[in-house]
Amino acid sequence: MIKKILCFCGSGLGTSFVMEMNVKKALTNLGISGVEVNHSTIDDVMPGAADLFVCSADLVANAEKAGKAIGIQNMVSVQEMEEKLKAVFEA
Amino acid sequence: MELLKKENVQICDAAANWREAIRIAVKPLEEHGYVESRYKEEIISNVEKMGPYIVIAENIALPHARPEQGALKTQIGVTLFRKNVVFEGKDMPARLFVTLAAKDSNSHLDALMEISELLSDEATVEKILNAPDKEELYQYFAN
Repeated sequence: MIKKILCFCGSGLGTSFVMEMNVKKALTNLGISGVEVNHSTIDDVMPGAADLFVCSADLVANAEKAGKAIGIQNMVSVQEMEEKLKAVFEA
Repeated sequence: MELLKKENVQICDAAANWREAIRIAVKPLEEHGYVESRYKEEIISNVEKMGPYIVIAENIALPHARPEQGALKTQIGVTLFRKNVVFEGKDMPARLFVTLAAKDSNSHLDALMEISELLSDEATVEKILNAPDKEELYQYFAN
């Protein structure tokens, strides 16, 4: 069960926040509720910090060490976010 | 958008490399006192350490670092390069640089939300990339 999603980037205040907004929009579009979404820096990425990590495609290898993760190419695209989240939630 | 001032909008032909592009994109904010002179180098060092996570989509970069890395006041700058800027290890080049200075973790979020909305529309991005002059470039973000 995915109850907690953490979006992260190198600094924790730009890219990660844009992703957080789009994760929230994508979840709404997918009809998924009751998921906590936050944004932070790569320093907070550790096992147990979230059920799913979302980051830019460049950082996904780091995230996978901590748990389930998806890497995003286009961070302003709600569509890409939706497709990738759908695959994880349906898995 | 309240956080963007016309004095922080610019159009440049090309940058020698991505490091130069970041220095150019931060320059207006530095000249107008929104960031310390070390801010640009902190951004470059973040990218060197963590990869080009600031390239948020095809053609779009969002150069930024942490408040404690030299951001003095919250502000946004917009730089459009006519020629592609290539980041090592990234197959998406960038031309539109939206530089972000955030003095804390919250004061920039509304502006960032607006920017993200604006740039999520590909047709709008196309228009912005082809803005003929600084005035028109500014208007896309101001309205």
